Amino acid sequence: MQSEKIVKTKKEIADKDLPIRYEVDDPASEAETTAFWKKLRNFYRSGEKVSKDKTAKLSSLLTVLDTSEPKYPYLPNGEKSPPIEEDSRTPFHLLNHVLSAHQKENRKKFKGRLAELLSGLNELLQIEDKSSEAKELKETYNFADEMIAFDKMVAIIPHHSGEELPKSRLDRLQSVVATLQEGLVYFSDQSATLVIEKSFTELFNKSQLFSHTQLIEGNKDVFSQTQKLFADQIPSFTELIKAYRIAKLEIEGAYQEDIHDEYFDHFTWHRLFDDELNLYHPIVLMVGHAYLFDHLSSFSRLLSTNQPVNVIVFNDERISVPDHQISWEDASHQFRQELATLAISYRNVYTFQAGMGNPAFLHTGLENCLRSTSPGVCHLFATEDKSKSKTSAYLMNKGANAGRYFPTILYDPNRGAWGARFDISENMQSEKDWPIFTFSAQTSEQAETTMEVAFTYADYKVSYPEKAKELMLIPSAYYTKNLVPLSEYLELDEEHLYGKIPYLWLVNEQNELHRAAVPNVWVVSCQERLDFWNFLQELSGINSFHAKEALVKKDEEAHKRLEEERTNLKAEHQQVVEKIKEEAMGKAAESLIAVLLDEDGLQLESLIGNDQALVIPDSEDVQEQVVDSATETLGETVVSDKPWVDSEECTTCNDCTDKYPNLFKYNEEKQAYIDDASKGTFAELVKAAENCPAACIHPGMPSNQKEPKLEALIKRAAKFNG
Amino acid sequence: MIALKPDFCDVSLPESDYSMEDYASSKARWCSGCGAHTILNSVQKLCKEEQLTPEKTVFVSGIGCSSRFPHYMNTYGFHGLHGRAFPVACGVKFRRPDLNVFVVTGDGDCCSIGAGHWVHAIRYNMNLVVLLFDNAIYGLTKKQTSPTSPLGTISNTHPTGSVLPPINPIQATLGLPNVSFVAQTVDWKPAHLHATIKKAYEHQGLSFVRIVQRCPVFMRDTYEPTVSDPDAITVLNHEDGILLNEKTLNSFRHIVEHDPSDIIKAREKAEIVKETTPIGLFYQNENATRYDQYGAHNLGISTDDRLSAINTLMDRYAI
Repeated sequence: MQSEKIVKTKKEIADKDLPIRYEVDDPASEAETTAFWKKLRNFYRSGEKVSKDKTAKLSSLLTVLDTSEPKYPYLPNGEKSPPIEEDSRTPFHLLNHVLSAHQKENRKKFKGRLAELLSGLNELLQIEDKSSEAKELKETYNFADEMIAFDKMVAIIPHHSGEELPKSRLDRLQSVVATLQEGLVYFSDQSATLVIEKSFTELFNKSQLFSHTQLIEGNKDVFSQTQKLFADQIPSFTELIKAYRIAKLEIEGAYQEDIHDEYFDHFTWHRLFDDELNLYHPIVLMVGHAYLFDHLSSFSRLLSTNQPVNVIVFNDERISVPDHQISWEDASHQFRQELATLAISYRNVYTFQAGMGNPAFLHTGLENCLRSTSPGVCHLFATEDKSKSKTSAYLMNKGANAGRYFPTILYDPNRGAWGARFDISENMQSEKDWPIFTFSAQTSEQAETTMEVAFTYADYKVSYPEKAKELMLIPSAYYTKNLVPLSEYLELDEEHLYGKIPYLWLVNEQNELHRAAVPNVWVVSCQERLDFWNFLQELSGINSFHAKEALVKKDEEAHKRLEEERTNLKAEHQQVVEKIKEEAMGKAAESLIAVLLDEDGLQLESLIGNDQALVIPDSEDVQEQVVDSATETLGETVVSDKPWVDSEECTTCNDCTDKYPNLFKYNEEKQAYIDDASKGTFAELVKAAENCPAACIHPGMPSNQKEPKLEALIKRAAKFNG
Repeated sequence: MIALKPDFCDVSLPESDYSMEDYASSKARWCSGCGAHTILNSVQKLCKEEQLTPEKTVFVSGIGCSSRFPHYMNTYGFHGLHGRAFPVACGVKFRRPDLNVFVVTGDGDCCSIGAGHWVHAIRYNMNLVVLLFDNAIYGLTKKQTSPTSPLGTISNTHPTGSVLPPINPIQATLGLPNVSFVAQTVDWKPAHLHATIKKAYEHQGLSFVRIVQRCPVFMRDTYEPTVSDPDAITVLNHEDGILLNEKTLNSFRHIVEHDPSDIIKAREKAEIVKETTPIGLFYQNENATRYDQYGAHNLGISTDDRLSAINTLMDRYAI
């Protein structure tokens, strides 16, 4: 197959048309597995590989994970412009663009203002600038050039003489005008100053960048050089601004000598306002990463002076330079990547860290950096030239960003609110430890599985072929449960770590997935990067411990409050229920008494005699007693006389009405009632009661005591009278 | 003359004004104390409440004490053959769905000779009100054992007591398909009786009401204790069931909640007749299929149209 391979262009390296495949072999025998695992464990501890394997030919998943094209903010969208091939010089292009845009803006603004002031002052002073006037006239009347002698004309044109100005004022005004004129000339042409460290100079000479900027080659100590440069240049600018302010005051007529003379006496650059200081051309310093750490003390001094100087640091340290063997796992090397946090510790430094993986962010960052009047530090991720590496610079940038090796950090000291100054939201899935990517892989049985893989720092490292050599390939035949993905391995605590080996996924040119074991040193450096990332998250308020605690507390308080409310409501409810019960009992007793009284209206005397009945009860028991006693007294009275029919219970059977029509009649509902009890005998009543199928006839007591067999009858009537 | 135009008159006058007497025909000749009087009274009250047009109302009966009913109502009636109250009533309803049809039958007429028609009438579920006067005896023929006589009933056919357990008409009806309304009541509780008959009338479908009827002449000994015993009756109560006013409901000692939409529970309740008589609505289903609606689809078509339709059909087979 080798012979058939064509020269690979960049596109074919990560052939996105080929599906990602993952072949699962049958598990090997126990003996083989154990032997292999012994080797594996040894590798993990020491990083030594016994046999040579082809890990060098494999690369990280970087190539298949992210298929997006870089987005540039200043390119027209929608047009079919070819994607920009990024390489190591792209950041310079970007910087050049930003600088020139910034300067143009500034220049225009500045010139405009100065000209305004000058004309205003001129008015005040009535300074006759004869030559310029002549010129003016000429321009206006140039059609009459031959005819008119403009110089002579100027003399004739009447000027109203100004009022007499006091001498001090006149002096001041004149000096101010002179300064402004000078400034107009000098500063409007002044471009940005770019101080470059030696190692960059050849790069600059080759390209045609920075044509409008003043390039100064750095000497041994670039930082102190810049500091001095600024200190030397700024007084003249300060004078200019002083003149500018005085001019403004004079034109408004607000200049008061007694106050303002003192005020402008010791006017240093520290007293300039932000927007004024902004008008000063930017001073940009370009250094390499290693150089900076060699001259850390003067860098520190520069930042602490608060001079509006911008330092751009190019980080190219992991590009292996033949005579500069840096070990990636070197702790000191690792810490140097955290330059941004170093700069932030100066509090007033506009810091941002980015690479070409996020060009829009980089662009905005540079713009804002130049615009702010605080010192600025830009930590840029430099990439290798495309000829040297297989993968595109953009993708490498993205990989460094995703693996939390070079996260995007923004620290803007001018953003006022608490915590708003620090911003890491531009990173992928910034709330997680590592960003997680999902993709689908074909297994050998024509089936597809979806895989979720975290992209760690180790994954980024593996994109460099020389680092890929350090891993050990694990054939899938030897796969056991003790193999865990590196991201999970990092989360395990000590007891669960035992016996487990971390691995990464690698992919080869045919997009086949393989596992590769990671040695212990790699794990340690991953932990370091993760800790740094977590530190950044902390600073920016993601996953804040304090916020979570506060939330939990609030929850508990809310719960407590609700519980209290609930118990209160229940208690109230209970009270209401009790009250209603009492009222109901009272009403029931009353109505019962009323009903019973109604039936035979003549028992009032017996009741009145009974004191209990008339006492108004205030408890259930008393009420019950009343009811009982009432029924007793009334019970006797019911039994005493009147026969009656419970008409509602009558079944219309015609029994009583047929037999005893004198006594019983039907009402409207065709149910019986006793029409006139005197019209029949007690015996008839009793017989009717006995025959009544519904037992609704109640004979009562005989009214006529002269009837025969009354006793027996009363006995028979008893059960219907109950 | 503005005043006499009909649209000026706001008061809507009732179109009819029937009183209970308007529905009464000859005097009822049942024994005094017979429960049938109560039922007659209740039905007349229902007719008055619903203002049923007498000429649009039909009472269909078979043979027995119960079946004397149509004679005492001043409406149309059909006193038919023994056991054939259902077929006649179904026929009437099938062709004259505009009439109010009531079926009055007894335990012998319905559960003995008329059992076959009973099964299918329930299944047809035509809009009828069926009142089963169940006195558990053949009364008109002077005391023979009926299919619903309790075990051990002494009668002319069984001087030493009946030997077979009786049919439970409620349970039997609940076992039939397409049953839509099954209720039971007793004739010595006029308020409950009336409420049940009223609900049966309102139900759109075959409303089967079994009325436990006293026979004061032949079954007095069986019924006397039941009537006066408050434990003998259990009321099935539910908001969808027979609704009674509070006073009436509280006059019963035993009240049980029963949801008439559950047929399984209904069958369970029907089994408790051994201990107590459950009264109330056992089961109601408003969505059962109605055979009379199916039968009414070609009503109103004139004879000529029918003949031409038949001829068209026959022409297909003409040679």
